[in-house]
Amino acid sequence: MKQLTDEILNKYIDNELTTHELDEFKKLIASDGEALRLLKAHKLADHILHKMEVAAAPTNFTDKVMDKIFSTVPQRLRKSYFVPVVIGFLFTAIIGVTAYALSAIPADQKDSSNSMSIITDAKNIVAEKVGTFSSFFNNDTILIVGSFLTFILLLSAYFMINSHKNFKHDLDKFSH
Amino acid sequence: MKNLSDIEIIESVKRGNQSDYSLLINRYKDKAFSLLKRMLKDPMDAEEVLQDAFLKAYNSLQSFRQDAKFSTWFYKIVYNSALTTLASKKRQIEKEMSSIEDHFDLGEYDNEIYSTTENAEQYVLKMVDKLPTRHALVLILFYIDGMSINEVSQVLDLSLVNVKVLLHRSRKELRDLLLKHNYQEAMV
Repeated sequence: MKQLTDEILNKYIDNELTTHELDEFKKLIASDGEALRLLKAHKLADHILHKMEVAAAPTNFTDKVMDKIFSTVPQRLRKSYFVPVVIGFLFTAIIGVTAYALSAIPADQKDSSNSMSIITDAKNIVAEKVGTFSSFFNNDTILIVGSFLTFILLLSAYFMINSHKNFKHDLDKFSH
Repeated sequence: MKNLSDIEIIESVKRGNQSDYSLLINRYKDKAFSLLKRMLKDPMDAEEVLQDAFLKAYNSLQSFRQDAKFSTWFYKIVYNSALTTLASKKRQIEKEMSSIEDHFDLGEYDNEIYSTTENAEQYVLKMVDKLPTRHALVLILFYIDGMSINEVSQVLDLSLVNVKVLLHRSRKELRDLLLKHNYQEAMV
């Protein structure tokens, strides 16, 4: 090693010199005053940079971020539960109707090994019950009363959901 | 609780203990704030971007792969958020985030800073403030955050060679200024 280059100085500072390079480096420093001067300044710069101060984040910074996180989480949870609840409801309804149809088949027919005939019977029973149900609503008086009650029910549901939303909003503000 | 590793805290947050995320915030807020203050030159902007970065990180925790360090992943979010802010404000972005090949000369600040500082430490730390943004960011990530060259390159999206060039060039500039004022003579 004849001359101390920036590359060698940086390798020395970063502990990247091989044993052989380190020996040569030490020899050069011991014999060359200018090289020693460069090394001292380089080490000083590195030493001071290690003492660079960290600027403190504003007070209450953590609380501010956590408040934002807590205020957004309930909405996300509501969204994530909506679809599974609807799917669960539909699934339960389908299972319920199927179970009812199967239970309505006379016992002697259930013993039959022909599964296709069981399915056909079940379909017939469901169609029969739906027919009874729809003929019930063909009555004008029942239709008017039913519509009125449905309207009242929807209106009540709207006000109830709104009131629940406001209550949740007030609760969130209070707790955070 | 405070001795938990980053990964342990993240696992806890994923299990539903949202308040544990505050441990990560407390661990990184000051260092990340230092970085942002340097980039954005405005404490208000720095705070806003840092809040945004912590929220982004929280919302993306599920996608965080544990083969990377949380700090590297988080600083990448911080850095990119700051770049977005700079770009939206179009504030000196071309000047501040210029190519690493661009020349810079700390000498023009020498008289002013040398006359207002009392020792080598004050002098160097004030000079760091005058470094081009990307040089200063490399120094902060390397020295304050204790990142390896490899991690710095991941955060800043630079090659290993370019990070080394930035680091070595900054050290050299500061060393030459220390030599100019013979500060090294005070070293034992």
